[in-house]
Amino acid sequence: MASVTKRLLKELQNIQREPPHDDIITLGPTSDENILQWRAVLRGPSDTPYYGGAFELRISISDQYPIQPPTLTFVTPVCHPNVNFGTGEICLDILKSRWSPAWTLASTCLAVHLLLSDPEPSSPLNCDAANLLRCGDTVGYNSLVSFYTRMYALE
Amino acid sequence: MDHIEFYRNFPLLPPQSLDPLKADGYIEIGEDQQCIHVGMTELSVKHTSKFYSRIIDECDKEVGWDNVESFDKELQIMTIMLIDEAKKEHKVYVDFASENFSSDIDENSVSMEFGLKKYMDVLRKKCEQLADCWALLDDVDSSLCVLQPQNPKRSELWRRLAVSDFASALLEVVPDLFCPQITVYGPNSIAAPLNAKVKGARGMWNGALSARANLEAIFDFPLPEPGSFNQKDIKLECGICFSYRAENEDADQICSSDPCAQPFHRKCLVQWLTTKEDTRQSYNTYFGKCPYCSENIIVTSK
Repeated sequence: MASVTKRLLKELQNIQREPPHDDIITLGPTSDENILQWRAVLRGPSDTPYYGGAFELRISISDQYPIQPPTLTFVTPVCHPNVNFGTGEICLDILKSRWSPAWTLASTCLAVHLLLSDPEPSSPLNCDAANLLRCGDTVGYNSLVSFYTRMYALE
Repeated sequence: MDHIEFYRNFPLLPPQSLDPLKADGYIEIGEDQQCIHVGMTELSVKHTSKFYSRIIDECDKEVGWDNVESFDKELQIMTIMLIDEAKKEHKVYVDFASENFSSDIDENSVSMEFGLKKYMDVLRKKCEQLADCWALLDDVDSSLCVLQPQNPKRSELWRRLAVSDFASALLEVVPDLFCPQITVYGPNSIAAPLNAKVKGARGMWNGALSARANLEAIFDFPLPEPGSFNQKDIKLECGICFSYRAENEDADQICSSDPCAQPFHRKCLVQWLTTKEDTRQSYNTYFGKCPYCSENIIVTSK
């Protein structure tokens, strides 16, 4: 068995034994045929304008995993300074330069979940959302985000 | 041989309806012509009847049908019970689909051309040779806290034991060698002095005492009871591929920084370090950062 398959099966086993977080609603392979394609659904964190929404992520895993990081993209449109609204691309250091095999798919999803409540406006993929935050307009930012959450992501 | 010849050899085994690959009936065994009931779902005949008769014949004369434990549903695998001199039971598998013999004593399978009798003789000899090893391992399994393998097979001549809260020991037995080989794994501060004790106690193993008594004499402290640790308590698995043994190698490269002590396979760690820009390389030695604690880690590729 390829080592990537073995590791992913172990991760799946761990997820089933100990679900990682209440806000990770689903996390697992999309089909029985291909273990390199996973899907996750995250609940929007409470105390954020994402609350009440459910956000689907597509997880593509290369056969070099875990030496290479997985690719996570939002399927549900998300208004967030570090997420490309059109493509769902996520800008997060641990998915690129700071990746380490110590991360698992579960902990990576948690990091994305944390990114929702803790945006990083200095490296934006969505300038409009980032600019609102950078000039300190939290009220504007919150209402913009909750508008998109209600429009696309209601559970 | 074709299907017609096959059915001619077994007159009590008629093909079912129109499908020549399915059959249901009886075959006669031995001189007193006892019958066993046989149902076949997919008949594939690759060899002449001589080939099969030889195995049936060997079962008849050498193995004895009493020792044939079972057939699987598809009639592809016959299981034979082999009882060695120490009255231990071993299973021998005759696989008609892949045409080989295998057993739980030996992981490698042998082609059917080798002959069943000859194969059983080899196994008997092996049982004799390994009897002492198995006695020791049985003692270890019943009296010490074994972490791996979880359901040991007879062919597995190693055990991973819990030694203390952070350390585990790999115990390997070698046939004809008086004492087992012991290596302690864990954070450097714990494992290094214990390995020194093992080295110092070389040749002191006393076969008359139990495994526990011997090990406690070497380490000089009481060892944990069976079941007091489980695999999760002691890190055994490679932090990169998450498996314990890969390509027959243990995860024996251990991060030397103290609270971390994360094990890795040599191959996995080298593979990771070579992708990192901050890794320095001198000949086949890599100086980089542990993927878990970011402290310095050194590994030499083989």
